[in-house]
Amino acid sequence: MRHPTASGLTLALLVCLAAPRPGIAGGPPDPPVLVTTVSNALEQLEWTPYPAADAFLIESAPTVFGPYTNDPRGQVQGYTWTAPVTQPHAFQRLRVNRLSDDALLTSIVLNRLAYSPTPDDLQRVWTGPNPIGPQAYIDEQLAPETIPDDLDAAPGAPTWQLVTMTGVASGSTFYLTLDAPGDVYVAGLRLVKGTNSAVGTNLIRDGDFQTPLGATWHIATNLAPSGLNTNTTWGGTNSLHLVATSAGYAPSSAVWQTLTPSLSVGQTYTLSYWYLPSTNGDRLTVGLNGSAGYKQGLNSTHHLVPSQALPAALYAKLTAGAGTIDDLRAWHLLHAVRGQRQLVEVLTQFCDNHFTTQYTKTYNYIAGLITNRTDISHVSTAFRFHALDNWQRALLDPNTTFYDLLKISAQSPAMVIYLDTVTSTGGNPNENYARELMELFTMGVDNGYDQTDIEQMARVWTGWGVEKVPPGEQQNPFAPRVANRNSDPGVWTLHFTSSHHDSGAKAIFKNKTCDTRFGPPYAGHSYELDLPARTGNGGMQDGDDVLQHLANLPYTQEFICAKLCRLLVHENFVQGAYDYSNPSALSPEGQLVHQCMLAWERTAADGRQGNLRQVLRAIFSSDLFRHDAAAQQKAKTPLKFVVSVVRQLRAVQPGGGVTADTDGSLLALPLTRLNMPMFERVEPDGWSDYGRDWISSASLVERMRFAEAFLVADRDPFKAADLGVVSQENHSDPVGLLKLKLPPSAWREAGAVADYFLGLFFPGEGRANLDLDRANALAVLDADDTGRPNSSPFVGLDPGSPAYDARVRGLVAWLMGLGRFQEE
Amino acid sequence: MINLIHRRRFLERSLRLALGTAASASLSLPACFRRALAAGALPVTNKKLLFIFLRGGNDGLNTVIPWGDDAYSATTRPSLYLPPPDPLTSVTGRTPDHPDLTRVIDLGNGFAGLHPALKDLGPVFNAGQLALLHRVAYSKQSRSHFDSQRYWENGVPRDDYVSDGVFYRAVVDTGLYQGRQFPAVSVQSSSPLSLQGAIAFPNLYNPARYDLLGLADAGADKAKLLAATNAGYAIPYPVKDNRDLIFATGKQLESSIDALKTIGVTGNAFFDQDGVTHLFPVDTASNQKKFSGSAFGFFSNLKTAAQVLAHTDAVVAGTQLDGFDTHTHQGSLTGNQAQLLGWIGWAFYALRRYFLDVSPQLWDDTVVVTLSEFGRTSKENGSLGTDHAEASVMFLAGGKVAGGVYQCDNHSWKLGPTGSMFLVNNRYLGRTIDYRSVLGKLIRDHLGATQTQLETILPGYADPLEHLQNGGIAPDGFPIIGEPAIL
Repeated sequence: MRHPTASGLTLALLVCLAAPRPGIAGGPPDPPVLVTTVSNALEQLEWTPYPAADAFLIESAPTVFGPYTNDPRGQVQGYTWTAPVTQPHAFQRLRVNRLSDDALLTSIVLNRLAYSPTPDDLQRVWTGPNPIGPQAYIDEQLAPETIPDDLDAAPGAPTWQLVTMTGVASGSTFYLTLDAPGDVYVAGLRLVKGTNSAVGTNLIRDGDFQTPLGATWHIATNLAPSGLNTNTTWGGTNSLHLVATSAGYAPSSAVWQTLTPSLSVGQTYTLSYWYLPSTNGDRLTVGLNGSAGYKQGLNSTHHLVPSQALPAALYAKLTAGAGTIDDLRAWHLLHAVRGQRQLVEVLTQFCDNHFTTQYTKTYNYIAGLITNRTDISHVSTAFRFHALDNWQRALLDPNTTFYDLLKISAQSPAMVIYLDTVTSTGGNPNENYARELMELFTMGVDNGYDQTDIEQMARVWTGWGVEKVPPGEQQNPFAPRVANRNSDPGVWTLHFTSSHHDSGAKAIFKNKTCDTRFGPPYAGHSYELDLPARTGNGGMQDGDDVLQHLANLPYTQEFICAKLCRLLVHENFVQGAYDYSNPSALSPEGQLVHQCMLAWERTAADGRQGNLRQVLRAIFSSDLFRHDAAAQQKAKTPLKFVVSVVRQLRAVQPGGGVTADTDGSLLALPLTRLNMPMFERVEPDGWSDYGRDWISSASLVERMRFAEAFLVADRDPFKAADLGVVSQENHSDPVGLLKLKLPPSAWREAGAVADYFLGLFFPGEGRANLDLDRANALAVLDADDTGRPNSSPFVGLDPGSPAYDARVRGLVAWLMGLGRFQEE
Repeated sequence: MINLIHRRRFLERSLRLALGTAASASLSLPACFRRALAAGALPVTNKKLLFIFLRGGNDGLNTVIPWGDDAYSATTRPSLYLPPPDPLTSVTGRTPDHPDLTRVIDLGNGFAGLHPALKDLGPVFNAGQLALLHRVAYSKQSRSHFDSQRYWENGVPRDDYVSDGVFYRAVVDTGLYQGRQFPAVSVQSSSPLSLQGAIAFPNLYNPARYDLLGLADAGADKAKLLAATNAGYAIPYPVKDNRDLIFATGKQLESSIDALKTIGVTGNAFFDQDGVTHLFPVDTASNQKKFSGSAFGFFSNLKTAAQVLAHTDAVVAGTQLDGFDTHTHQGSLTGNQAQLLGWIGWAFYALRRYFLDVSPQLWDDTVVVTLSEFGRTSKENGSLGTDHAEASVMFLAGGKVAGGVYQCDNHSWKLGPTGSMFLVNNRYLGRTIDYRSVLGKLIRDHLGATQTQLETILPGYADPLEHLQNGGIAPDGFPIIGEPAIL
């Protein structure tokens, strides 16, 4: 507060907050600073940005005591108020209207418990009619078993699917091809002039497969087994059974025909066909040659199952042990994008990352034992998949504890291989797993253990390995291995070899007691673990004793709670430094970790400690989580970024379909480019929690490139320039989204369009803080590709035109490259 | 004492968070103070520093090999051991021109030798421009990769809360960053801690992709998007934990994209003297060295780092090589470590040629240095590998580097089963050089920091008990030599 100003104006520069929350941890910061300048008969007030400000209002009053009313002389733009200097002089103050607590919490909740808000989520929780509110969303997500989610549910018998597309002819060679070995039935191929598939002569000869295939169609050698099928029919007519023995990409590796008479290149035609979904193979391409030269050519690549059935098809494949690591990536990413149990998805990823392993390391190890490459990849994938699947199941159980999650990791063959337990033997143990088990998975670095404990604990894991055992023995770690790993039937699983185990007694944490800094109920307790000498298969019990012991140590509680707080609140939670013996002197972060530890310590309904939901509830009910201290304080990891690019545009169309989607596979490449190749983290500490490790100029450029490529129109060949072949499930329609969510009267209004996307992407920012972004957005909307200001006003574009579509796509891609979109 | 520092910094951060004023990414001095430290006119230097971080902890004992110590033997290292050089081929003060590559390559001091996979270091060493520093570490060594890498990179051992990097401070606290387009550049998949700080320095990965894509055909709208992006990153904002970093990084995108286009980083017409062998094997066509294809990424990054150093005002450029965490199947003549050492040896050879070919002056102005978080156990483990340990080796090369073998010789090395190789916990090679003494000498005597600046860049220099400059008994009781005479 200060007055008067140098100009002689009598101004009282006061700050008034609509909803001040003094004294609350996580509450807003100090009020903004005001500066006044007067020049050219203009009076200008400037202030510093203020979080979650929905409106800045300048009010004036005749005396410093009020009454203050809105000062109508000037206008606010961004963080400046400008008005002509007029008499009489008044006292002025800045009023900040903040977002309501629930509005802010909505933004936090949908970014932390979920992989960013979808347009529908945001409406349902807050902006739509009868919103449920953020607390109800938290409560739902904390009871995920009650949320319907049938992503992985086995689909019924496949039914024929219709594909229709209107576009421009690019050539007269029509072809069908499969990009992996497999098969699919196709029928009712029609290509007609114009835009109505039902009207006009079919330009494809024998598109309903009435004559022997070879008479009309050419068949490339990789599709040699293909033929007509009279048993699998569509609407009573024959189908083409397309059978590929190897991948094909072009007419030369396809079933194809030359259309006669030739099509008029550049003219509009409509292609339609039916296919019967198949789980054998990957993707079908149908179309005309030369389509890469046309923005809306007639060429489509899609999976052999409909988009909505993809996760279930992948799940079935992975469950059967027939999935590849690419299948696992697609499945995992589809869950992130489409899952309704978003908190489970976020926490499954957390588990996978916390207990990280590396696919290539598994692959190389298994490759030393068997020779068939397909088998090696399936076995290596299955280890990781089962761990993910087990975590996901565990997270649906209200009684799940940290011990349960830890045990899934410890018993996963992927982990036994990853940290070299497979090569560790009694007498000369490998320390790798013992070290990382304490350093990275439970207690945290330098937190209650030393080198001696590592050496003692390394002996515990000797004898643990991975083997192929006869069918039905996968739960028996003592089953003898099959004689021939290559040819004998069997299953790969965790295996214990007692002769490799160090059977002697072990003393871990000898004479160690919990640090005084932990305070009650922990401080001073001995946590020495003495394991007796155990011979034979009994030696494997050492491992479970260690896991049970580690799982609830206060060091573990602290490390895991701090890490969960970093995941869900903000980055600045540490381990090993808080002094819980004097809770009143703790920082708010230390207090929250302490609350989480006490929730961990409290026995749950099943009588066990370490109940995960109790800990999560402590976080979600904390002031730190519910206020500014959490809002947008984290940088999105590449995973969160790429998933959010899809999710934030993904609304359900009333007639079916969505306004944006992915097949999951497409997201794997940008993640690799962003240095987060899924399931290939080399180092055992997992992907970083810290924004500084993800934000760099190269990574920002890659993020922008991905948003741009994803926003290029479907079937525009430029999309493939950066992403390679793009399957049609990877789809973005921001104009479709706009038309779904805005009344037609608003479609031509640049302001309404900008406001919609700003509000959707940055709901916790407050409109007042988006004012300058809004001005930039209007400039983007009103300029053509040259960027010259006002070169093509948005209001002049027909909302049905490609130009309108392109303008909106550009706006969205640009917004996704801005700083705030990198945050959550 | 160090604990007090964290506690204070920690409370400061907690306090800021309690107030809701988000702490910035950097916990140390704000930029205005840094500028004040860099008093006087803008410093001018043509000096260059290129660093390569060998991640995972390189086994120094199988890199620069103390063959003169019987404790280095087939008993302690059954599958790793390499036989000593044939004394008849040894030459004092240099490596043989045609060494026997089934044995340790003699370094001419009667004690130390190179792993034969490092044969390409020979010409650099014989030119007197390669310093091999053995037994480098720090006190109270952490055997965690992550902690130890952090300490090497933040320059403050055992302090987890210094979140800006030692090379960052080397260009910022000296003021060297001012007025430069590329003060410091990292060429790897993400910005390393050693170059992180409140001011965002460019990080390049694949320079061919370092541009927007656009949505219109052939990226016709790229310029529009880039300009709008630049405008979007220029506006004021309410502070959030990561926002300063994100916006600072975004703000310099447009200018760095433009600048990089002028260097021609996609070219690779750089050859050895035979005119055929590419200095940087970045793909099959340039792989006359017949390295594994997994080397291409590293050499591509190395090439970009070298080009940016040579053709811009950059002072520091760096990259890294992963894979030194050889717990299993480390190998000896061939194998995992040998493969990586082969690349490192060639990297030094190639960098020397590259810089000399640009100009001999440039090579004189340049120092190339490796870092690695720790060495590995002196005894082999049961998995044909080695575990995390203590001291290891640093390589340093440059036109003005005083080449030679440091701290691996008959005089300073204690022999036998209770000697240097087992000095710590009867398991680990003990240190005689603190890595900060090496970096400190480089930052002061090569990059031109003042002693006062050095004391903030490497705070250990401000504590006389650390003996970083002149040597002495370090706080943990081990004697260190202080700064080696490498320049």
